[in-house]
Amino acid sequence: MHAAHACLVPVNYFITSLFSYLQKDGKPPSHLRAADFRHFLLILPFALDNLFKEEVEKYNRGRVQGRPALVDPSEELVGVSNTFVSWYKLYRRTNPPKGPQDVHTVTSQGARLLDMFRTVFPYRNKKGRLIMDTEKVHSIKHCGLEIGNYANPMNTSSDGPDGGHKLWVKGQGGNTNQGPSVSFSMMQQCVHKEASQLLCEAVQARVEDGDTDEEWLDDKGRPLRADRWWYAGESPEQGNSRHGPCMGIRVNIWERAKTRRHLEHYLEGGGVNGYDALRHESILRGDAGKLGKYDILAFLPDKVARFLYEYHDFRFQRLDLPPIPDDRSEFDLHAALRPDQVVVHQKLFDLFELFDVKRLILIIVTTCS
Amino acid sequence: MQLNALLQSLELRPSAQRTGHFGLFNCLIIGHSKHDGIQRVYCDPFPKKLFYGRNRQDLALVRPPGIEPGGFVLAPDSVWYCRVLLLFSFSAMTDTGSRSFDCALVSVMERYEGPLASGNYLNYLSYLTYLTNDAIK
Repeated sequence: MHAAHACLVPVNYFITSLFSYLQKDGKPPSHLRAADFRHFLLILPFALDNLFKEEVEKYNRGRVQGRPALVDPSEELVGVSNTFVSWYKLYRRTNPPKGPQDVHTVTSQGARLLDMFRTVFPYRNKKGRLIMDTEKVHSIKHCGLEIGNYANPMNTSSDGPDGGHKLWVKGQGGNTNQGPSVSFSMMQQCVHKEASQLLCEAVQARVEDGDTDEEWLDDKGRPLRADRWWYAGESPEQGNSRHGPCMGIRVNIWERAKTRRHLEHYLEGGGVNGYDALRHESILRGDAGKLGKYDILAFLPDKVARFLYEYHDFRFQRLDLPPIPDDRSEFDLHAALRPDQVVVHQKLFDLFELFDVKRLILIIVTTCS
Repeated sequence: MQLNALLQSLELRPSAQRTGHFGLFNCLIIGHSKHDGIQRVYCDPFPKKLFYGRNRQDLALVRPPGIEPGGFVLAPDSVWYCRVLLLFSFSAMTDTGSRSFDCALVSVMERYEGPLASGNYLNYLSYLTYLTNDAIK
């Protein structure tokens, strides 16, 4: 680029480096803000002046005889950019406020600008549409109406939230402990954090379970069999007596429950989402409507909230819940949060435990089927 | 207030009958990634929804959390004795999006050491005294 003209906007190293970046990568760097692009918009007419002069002259000198000579499009491009800057300046003007005449000028200039786009850029993309026929360009057509409805364009501008989002959500990813080489957005960091948490839970389960070959022992130190059946009595015909009696109770297989990560669970009955559903506001008196009265339901909302707090508090950082210390021996989880609408006798409350089904480490069902 | 905020994060979900926060189920199926077969834990606690004519709520033994690796010994006093009170599912809007939770509400049965405990005749008598006094009043 030859800065042959006296440009009021300085062409400094930052701007030249941008053009180098554009030439190298084909897109602007991610750290550019809307204000930077407005800066570039002001120098655009100067940058376009005679931009293609040398290339066009070189082509015309070497063109095959009979082919028409190219006309330097720089003049047309400068005209388009000047019209655009003129329109944009009026469009963004806040003081003095735009009157009806200004709105008319913005509308007519916008229509003229769109006509210029069609004639100066008559090229079509793969879908057969003009390359300047985009949603953003098309919005120029309606800007006069929007100003009439909402006055200052800043009233409908999302520059502020966009900038804030870029700075405080996307940009903060680099401030995490993931290191500068992996600058995820905060949303990505949250997802990664959740994945890490799940992985930690899986590893913790593996550690708690011990080795897969862990032997479970009975109260006399003898290894438990993986059998489905244990028999009372000592006679061989009643079963293998080497492993001792079991009071004649039919006990289901603990071999299956020894390693939690191998357990799979499903809730069944009434379809994917259950045979019925209850709203937490309507069961505080234990009334399940047509299902009848079941007093335990009165405790359910409170228990669920405390369950979320105790085991999943890291998923609700937006609620600013009280932190749970690692040593819970002197920390009363039930006292940390207080409900407004549920009053439960504490002793009765302590009788109930809520389990994530994944936390049902061992269930040996003793049923008389 | 924080409990209310947590409750507000629950999402409404449709079921076969109504829409609500807690989807109700009557059976927990426990499968295994290496062994064949399944185990079923039934829970039908509602008086107007019976399981073959009765309210069935299975009993379960639960391995308590917090046991050191390899330190679990299956013994009568090393497990929790529970009755399954409710099998339900809910979803909550967390910081990273909607998440579903499958849960079992169980009652942890503990050794009863109250005035009516076996062999505690003195307390049993005093309990009767209280009842009598209440009746007289």
